[in-house]
Amino acid sequence: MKYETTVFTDSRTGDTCTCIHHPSGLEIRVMEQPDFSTAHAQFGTKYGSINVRFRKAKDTEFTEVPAGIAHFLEHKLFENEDCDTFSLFNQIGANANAYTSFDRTVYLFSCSDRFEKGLEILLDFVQKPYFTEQTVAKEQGIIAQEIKMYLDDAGDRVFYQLLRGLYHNHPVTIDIAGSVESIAQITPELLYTCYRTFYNLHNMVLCCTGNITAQRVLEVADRLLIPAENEGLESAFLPEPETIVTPYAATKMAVGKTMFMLGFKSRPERGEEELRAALISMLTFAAIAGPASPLYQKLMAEELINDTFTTDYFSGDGFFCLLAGGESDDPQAVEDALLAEIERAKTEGLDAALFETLKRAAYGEAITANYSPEGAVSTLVDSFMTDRISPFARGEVLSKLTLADAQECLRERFRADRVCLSVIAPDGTEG
Amino acid sequence: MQNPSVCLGDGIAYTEILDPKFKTCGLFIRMFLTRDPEKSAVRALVADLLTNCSADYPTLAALSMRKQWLYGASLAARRGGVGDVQELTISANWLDDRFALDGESVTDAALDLTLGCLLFPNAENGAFEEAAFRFAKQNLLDTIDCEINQKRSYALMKGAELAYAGEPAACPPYGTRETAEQLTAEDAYAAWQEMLETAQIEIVAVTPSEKPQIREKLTTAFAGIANRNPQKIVFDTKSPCKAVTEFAEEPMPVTQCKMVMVLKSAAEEPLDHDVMRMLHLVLGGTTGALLFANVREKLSLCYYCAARYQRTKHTLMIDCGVRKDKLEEAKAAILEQVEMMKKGEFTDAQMEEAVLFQAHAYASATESHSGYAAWIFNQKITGSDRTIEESLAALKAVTREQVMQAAQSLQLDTVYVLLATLNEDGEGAAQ
Repeated sequence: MKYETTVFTDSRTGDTCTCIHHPSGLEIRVMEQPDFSTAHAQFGTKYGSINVRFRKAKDTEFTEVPAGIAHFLEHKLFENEDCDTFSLFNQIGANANAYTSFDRTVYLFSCSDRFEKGLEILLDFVQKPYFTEQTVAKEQGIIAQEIKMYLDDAGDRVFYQLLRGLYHNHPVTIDIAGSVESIAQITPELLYTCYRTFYNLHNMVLCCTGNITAQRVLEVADRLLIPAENEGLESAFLPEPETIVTPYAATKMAVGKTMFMLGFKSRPERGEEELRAALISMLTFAAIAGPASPLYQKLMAEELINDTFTTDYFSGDGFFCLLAGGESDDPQAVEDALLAEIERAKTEGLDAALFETLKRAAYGEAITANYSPEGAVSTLVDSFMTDRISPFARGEVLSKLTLADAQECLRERFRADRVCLSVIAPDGTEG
Repeated sequence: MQNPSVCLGDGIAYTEILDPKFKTCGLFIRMFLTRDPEKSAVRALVADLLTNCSADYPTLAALSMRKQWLYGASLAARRGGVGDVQELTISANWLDDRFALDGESVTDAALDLTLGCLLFPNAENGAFEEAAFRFAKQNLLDTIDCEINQKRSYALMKGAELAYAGEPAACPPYGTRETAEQLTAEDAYAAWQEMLETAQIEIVAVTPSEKPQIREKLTTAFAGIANRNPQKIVFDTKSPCKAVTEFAEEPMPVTQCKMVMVLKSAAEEPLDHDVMRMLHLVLGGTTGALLFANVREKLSLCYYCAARYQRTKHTLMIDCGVRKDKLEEAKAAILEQVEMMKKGEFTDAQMEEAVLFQAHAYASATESHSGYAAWIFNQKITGSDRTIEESLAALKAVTREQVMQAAQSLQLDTVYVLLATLNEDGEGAAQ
C-alpha cells in the first residue's frame, strides 16, 4: 500500500511525529517513544456538541439534530451487536475510555502489551455501529444520571452560564451531554444519520504514541480501515455577533463560597493563527493577572481572591474567549480591578521583564508538552483538530512572539465592552 | 534504574530513580505524621505557606517570578492522608539542564529554591510573615468551606468520617473550620518546626541522568534540622466493624444523590491485602467489574458505581451517584454484587483480567515522576520491598476461595447518603 507521509520534527527536543495520509482517507499520526513501557492510541472524529447543524456536499438543506447526540454516540459505540467492547479491552489488559468535547469525540486505550490487538478492537468497534430502540432506551437512563451529575457541578455551571452570557447563537452554549429532554428525542435513526455523517475517515484521525512503531500501526490500519469517500462535510453555525449577551449572570447553588468566571469574547481564529492567538493571549493575561503580577498581589492583599484564581483561554470552531476565575466574596470588585489594570497597561505598557520571564516558562512548557505517551497522544489529537497543524508548532510560534504582539493582543482581545461576569453564590445567601 | 534507599538522617530516607527518557527532574519530599484533629489544619496551612514564599523570595510574586524564570519550574504542596496518617508533600519539577538556553544548571537553582522554601521560610521572631500567613489561612478556610463543591469527594469524605468515627482517620485532611479559624502565625511557625523535627520523611528524586548534587544538597540541608525526634508511624490500623450498621443522610439542594457504602471485615484476623486487591478489582475496580457491568450497564441505575480499597484501614468503600427514587434499588443492587462475590459468582476470566489491569497500572507507574514516587511511598506505607513482578505474582496467586472467604467476612458498616432535595429538573437551583 502506498502512503503519503510527512515527518514533523521538534528542533528543540528531537521528537518526531510521522503523519500518514492513509489511502482509506484517515490521517494517522504516530510518535514513536521506545523508552516508554506503554502505548496509547486515540481514534477521534471532528464531531462534538457544537455540530448540531450540518450537511454533505450533495445535500441542499442543512440537517438539524437535538443536543447531545455526539456524546450519546460515544456511549453507544462501545456496545457491539454481540458484546460489550470494554470486555474485549479488559481481556488484553488494556485500559479503554472515550470522551466528547465541544468539537470532537475521541475513543482511546492504553496498554503495556498486545498493542496490535488493542488497535484492532479500537478500529473495529468505532467503525461498527449498532443501535436499537432497546439499547438507546437503556443508555438514556445512564446518561440522564451523568447529566444530573454535571448539573450539580458548580464549576461546570459557572462556565456554561458564562458562555450563555457571551454567545447569542453559537451552540457552544449547549451542554456537551445535552439535556434530559434533548436526549429523550434521540432515536437509532438519528444516531445512524450522525454516525454516517461525522464518522467518515476523512473527518477523523488516529494518533498513536509510546512503545510502538508506525509500521506496526499501519499493519493493523491496512487490515481494518474501511475506505470512505470524502463527502464534503460542512458544519454550519448561525451568524454570531461580536457583542455579548449580558455583562452579568448569577445563580445560586450548594457551594461553600462564591465562585466566579469572567470572559472576554474575542475574534475566533483557525489553524496556526488559533494557536498563535491562544499563546499570546495566555502570555498577556499572565502578565496582567498571573501570580507574578502586581495585580495578583493587590487582589490577594485585599483578600479578593484566593489560590484558586487562574487565567485561561477557550477556543474552537467559531469561538474564542479569555477566561479568569476562582472564588471571591466580591467578584465584581475583582472584575473592576482587572479592567482597570488592563486599561492602565494599554496606555502605560506591559512589564517587559515580566513578559520575557513568562516566555521562558512557556518555552519550558513547550519542551515538556510531550513528556509522556499519554501527554503526547493528546498533543497529536489537538494538532489535528486545530486544522491539522504540526504537533510541534507551539514552540515555533512561541519563539516569534514579542512584547508588541502582547500589547496588540491587549488592545484587540481584552475589551471592556466584551466582558461577561458569571457568578455562582452559595445557596441561602442574599442577593 | 532505582538506587537503594539511603538514610539522610534519623527517619529521613532518600531514593533516587534514574530514567533517561524524561525531559524534566522531579523531587518529592513527603512527611508522614499521625493524624491529629488539633493539628491537621495547621499542618495543611504550613504546607501551603511553604510553597508560596521563602526568606529569599518573600512574596508569592517574587517566588512565582523565580519559578517562571526557571523555565516554569513548579513547586507545589499536596495535603492528604492514608488511614490514620497525615501526608504532606512538597514537590518540585524542573526542566532538565540539557534544555537550558544559556547552559546554566536549572537543577542547582531549583534545588536551592525548593530547600529554601522548606527550611528557610519567610518568618522571624517565631512567626511567619503576617501577610503571607493571612493569605494561606484564607486559602485553607476557603478550601475547607468548598469541600462541599465536589459532591462525590465530599460524600466520600463524609462517609469516611462516619466509618472511622473515634479513629484518627476520621479527621478530614484539612482539619476543621473551627480549628483553622483559631490559627495564628506563631502557631504555624511552631507547627512547621514540629513537622521538621517529628515527621517521618521520605524523599524521592527522579532524574534523566546522574545528579549527585541532589543528594549532596539534601544531606546538607536536612543535617541542619536540630532536635530530630521522628514519630513512630503505624500505617496499618484495621478499623473495627460496627455491631450495627450506621445510616446517615444529609439533605442538600442538588439533583443527584450520592451514596457511600462502607464495608469492613468482622473477622478478628487482618485481611490479606492481595486477596482484597483482587476482590476490589473484580467487584468494582474496572470496567469489567460487577458493579460497572451490572449496576451501571445492565440496570442503568448510575453513571458511576465503583469500589475502592483502603488498605491501611482494611475497608472497602463503594460509591455511586443515583436518583433519589432509585436509592433503595441501587443499594440492594450493590449488596447483591457483594453477595455474588461471597458466593463465588464471578468468573476466572474476571480474575485474570484483574491481574492484567494491575499489570498495566504498574507499567504506567514508570511513565511519570509521580508514578515512580507513588510506588516508593507505597512501599514505605506497606512496609514491603516487593518488586512490581513480585506484587503481580502475589495477585496472580490469589484463589477464588480466598476471595470468597474475604468477601464473606465483610459486613455493611456505614451508609452515608447525600440526599438530593431538588427535583429532577434541578428546579430551585436558579434564583
